[in-house]
Amino acid sequence: VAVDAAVVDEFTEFMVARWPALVRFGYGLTGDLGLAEDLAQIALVRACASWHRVRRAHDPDSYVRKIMINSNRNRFRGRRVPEHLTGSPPELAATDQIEASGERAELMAALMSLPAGQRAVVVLRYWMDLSEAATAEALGCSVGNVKSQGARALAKLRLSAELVDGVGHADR
Amino acid sequence: MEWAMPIDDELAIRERFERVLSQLQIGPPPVTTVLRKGIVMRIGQRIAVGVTAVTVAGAAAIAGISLAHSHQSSPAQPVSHHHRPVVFTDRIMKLSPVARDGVFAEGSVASEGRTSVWRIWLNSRTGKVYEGTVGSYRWTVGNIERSGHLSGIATIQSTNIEGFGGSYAVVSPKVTSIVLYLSDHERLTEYPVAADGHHWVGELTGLGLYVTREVAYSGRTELGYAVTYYGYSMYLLRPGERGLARQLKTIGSGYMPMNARRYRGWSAVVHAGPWGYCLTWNGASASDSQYCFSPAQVEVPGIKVVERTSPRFGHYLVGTAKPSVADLKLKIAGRPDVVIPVVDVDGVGFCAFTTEHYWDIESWAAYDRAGQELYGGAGAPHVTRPSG
Repeated sequence: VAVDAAVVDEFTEFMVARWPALVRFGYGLTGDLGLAEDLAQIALVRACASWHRVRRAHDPDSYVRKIMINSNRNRFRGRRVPEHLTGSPPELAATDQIEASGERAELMAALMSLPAGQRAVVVLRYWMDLSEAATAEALGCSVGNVKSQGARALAKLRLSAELVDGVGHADR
Repeated sequence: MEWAMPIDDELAIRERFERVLSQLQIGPPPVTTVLRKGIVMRIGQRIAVGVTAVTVAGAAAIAGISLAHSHQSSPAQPVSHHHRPVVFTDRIMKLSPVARDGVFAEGSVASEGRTSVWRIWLNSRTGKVYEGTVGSYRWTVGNIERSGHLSGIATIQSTNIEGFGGSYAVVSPKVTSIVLYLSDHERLTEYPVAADGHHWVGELTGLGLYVTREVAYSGRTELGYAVTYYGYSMYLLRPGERGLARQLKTIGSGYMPMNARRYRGWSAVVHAGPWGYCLTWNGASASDSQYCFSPAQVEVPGIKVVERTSPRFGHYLVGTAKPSVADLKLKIAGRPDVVIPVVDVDGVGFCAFTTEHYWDIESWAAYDRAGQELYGGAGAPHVTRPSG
């Protein structure tokens, strides 16, 4: 089969460069590394399918993040095809579960206790370090909404039992 | 308890996130999987766009398009412009009839001076099936128990690992070879290898390649064949059996709110053929846009929802209904009834529609062409998750 190698190379370069950041972003949204990789993969598949449009976008990262946010809202959907996704070795996932302890587990537990909207704001603002305007654009809402959701989320995190208990870890 | 809070400002939470992120062990990106799925999705989108354009123009020559295809080939690829073709040479080795160290398939993919040797094997102790290339990662692609459930001539599992597409299968003991026809017109032959009480075959192919057709033989006698949908194989047909007639039908279109201010057009098509049914959404934003299933997987209890997206603003829904159903009607509190046409695709009624999140659906009902209610129920139509 003939593949446009130039386009493939360009997309591959984009994917390899962004993959770790996208998986981290997905981890913040889901609290699960496997789901995070699935989300990143779904977003990149869609970006690949529309690469001619994505490459012209002023911010391709924003495009992919939006897909991840929308896909995460809808994780209960059916599978696309009866196919086993084997994007990463399960051995790595197992290792990750073993090491998912301490401060990380506490922080993720607190984060997962937030409603999805507030969690997305926290992840985008304080994890991905986006501006309020960029966060609003990614979530398809107003800057005011980002501010209010962010404030509510931080208030809840301050009262989170997991983070209170985890104070010792923060001092390490 | 305020004094005990480890996070009292944004800086503190940023620092905590930073520490957590540094602990994450992230695997390599699944470049090949993404590229292959992206290409397939792109092809599906082009088909959907083309069909929608034809429908809107009133030139409904879909049947003609379908008839133009041969019954012995995969769906035609859309025309595209290529600058520098990448050519792969695939090989499958003939192994001994009984697996050594669980290896039941081995071969190579050569491209641009590089050759990768791949293997597919199982491990009875772990109960897993693995794929990998020499000198690279090992990937777990399935488990023996699930893969070993033989249905008919062969049970096929699609797999994609880094750098390759492919599949493996458990086949009937009657099968002595399987001939694969690839999208670049290569022809490969697989020979079953016994391992863990079953007979196995498998293959990996180069990036972007896929199997268009596979034929299972017992000696020189053909046992069955499959025509794939861009590599996705659902079931094998008996020799001479033609399977579903090729049809490409738009089953729904409309507009869906993307956020509080924007709407987006969508359409959905079903591409039926010897591969089964493959549904493609065009314009749906928040989910995968393709879903394939065999005729045996179609259940028509009323409406089977196989896709739903965008719960914040509403849902994209696809359903199957009995062929006698002409349309579905949703009764919504405080709003006019919504009538959804059902399109017959080779004996199965398909419908695609959207619902908005604030709708309070009181009841639904299915009607035949005479307007007679056939069946229905209270509330929204029951959602049956696809079994896959």
